Amino acid sequence: MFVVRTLAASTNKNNSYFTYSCLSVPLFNQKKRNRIPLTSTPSENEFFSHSEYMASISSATSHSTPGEVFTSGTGPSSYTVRQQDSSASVNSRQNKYQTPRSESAQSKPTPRTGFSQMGRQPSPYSQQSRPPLPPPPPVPPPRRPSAHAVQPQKNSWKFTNSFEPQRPSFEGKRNSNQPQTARPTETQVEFDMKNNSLRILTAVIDGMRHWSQFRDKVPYLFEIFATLDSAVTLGRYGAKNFLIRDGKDVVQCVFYENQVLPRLIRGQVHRCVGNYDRSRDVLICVSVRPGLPSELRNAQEAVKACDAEMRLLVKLLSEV
Amino acid sequence: TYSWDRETIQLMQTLIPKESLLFIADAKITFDSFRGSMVATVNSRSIITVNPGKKPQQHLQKHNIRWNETPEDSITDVYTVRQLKQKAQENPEAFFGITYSFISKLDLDSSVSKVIRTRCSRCKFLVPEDMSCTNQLCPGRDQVFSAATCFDLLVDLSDHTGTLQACHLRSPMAEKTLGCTVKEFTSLTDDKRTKMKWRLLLERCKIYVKVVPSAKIKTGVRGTILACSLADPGEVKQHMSALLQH
Repeated sequence: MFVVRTLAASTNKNNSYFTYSCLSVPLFNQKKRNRIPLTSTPSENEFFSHSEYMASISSATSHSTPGEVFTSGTGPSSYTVRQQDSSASVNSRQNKYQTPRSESAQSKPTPRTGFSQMGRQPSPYSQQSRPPLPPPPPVPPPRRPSAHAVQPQKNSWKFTNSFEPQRPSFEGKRNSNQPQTARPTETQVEFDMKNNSLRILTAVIDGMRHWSQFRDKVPYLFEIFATLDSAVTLGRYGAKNFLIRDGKDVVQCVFYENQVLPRLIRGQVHRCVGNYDRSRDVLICVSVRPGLPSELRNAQEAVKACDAEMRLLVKLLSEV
Repeated sequence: TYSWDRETIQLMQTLIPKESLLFIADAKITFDSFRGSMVATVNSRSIITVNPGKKPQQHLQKHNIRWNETPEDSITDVYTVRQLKQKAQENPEAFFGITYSFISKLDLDSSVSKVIRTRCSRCKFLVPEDMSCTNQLCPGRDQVFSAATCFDLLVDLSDHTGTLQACHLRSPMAEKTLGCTVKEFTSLTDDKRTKMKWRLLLERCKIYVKVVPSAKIKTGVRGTILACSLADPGEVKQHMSALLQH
């Protein structure tokens, strides 16, 4: 089975836009003499600290879920790895990614516990298919020409067959019939600005607060894994209020759905999906449930991928 | 294959085009000068088995003839939503892929007509309930109308790169995804439908999808879901790691 893979030209990794601080908007145009753009706070390392994140999650849950073992720090998670039955050729069973080593680990799907007592009332979600969003103002098309054309890959990628027979390459776009790659490139982000559709970002609380400042240009929902840090209290109009925490950051959540919430245990990690209201500093949740240990172990990668995407998007927006 | 035998003709009329698999043993093969090609003729010695079991299917696989292959067998390329859209823009041909995306729209508990449709059993055309088939070319036109109800939903898929709207989720994939038949679904209470919806809505799923570039649609892309299940977090992690590497 064959599919040709290529890499997009990667953007300059040394660009200090990629180092993270709370506010990374450059105050001066980089084209001038200074090599290092001045930012409003000194740049720090990554946006969140991996080990901090893992430690905060594992310490929060280790006492409330006996029998679960978490690895804190950087080790790979301990999920069961099984090969699917290898009667057919093994290659065809592996998911193909844009990596030089195609990882073939397939884990047994974690059984999901059902939700208890979900109410009947349809949520705003099903009626409108989006939570109430202010319409984004029209985004001016990027003025830069898409000079970062995707180049054919020169490394020796493995050729693997896709479902279709291999097509002859198109002129001028040799790689157009292969999946695009790896890190989002600027042309890809430009593509998005013309196809501005809802995104769902996995983030940490601090990241959510930061990324939400661009909410008026790009619509998104957040998926947060954090520890329930308060009792669930009842507010006006049937709202349920509670606090969630990851590491040092805490955010107020509100859940308006008329469904019955599943039982939320204080001190246990939960998954909340919703719309962050920046003006009130509240996460308006549309989905709340306990997080699975396997999800928690793996959320960090999703957070990193989403951060990478958002950094590029922000860069593009700030240059327009 | 040609046949003059009434019983055989009657058997053929019960078959569903593009669905029934026939295993034919002892068909007579001759050169037909009128048609200018080899033809197979069924006679009294021929045995026709409809939808035979595993062995003949393995035979087909051996000769690389795809039949009733599950998507999981042959689709391996993983895409983000943006990558699916971009590929559809750059290529006129349909393609297949996997995406680890959230289901961001799944109207299971709104009106039933958004979930279930009626189709002619013969030609699969959508028909209004209780009316006969409107398809001029329907092979079953002269017979008693028979319809089948099936799932026919539109679903949105979202990830951190965007949303692919209005993907089709139809029978028989829908039954596997939702875990119930059309009949069972219609007898569910609203509460149960809502519960079923929230099992999948805003959850990250592993979705096998067929993407067809289409000039008729505003977005230029039509997606059809071939399989959908809650994603295993370990696989999602691998996917995310792969996205981060270069």
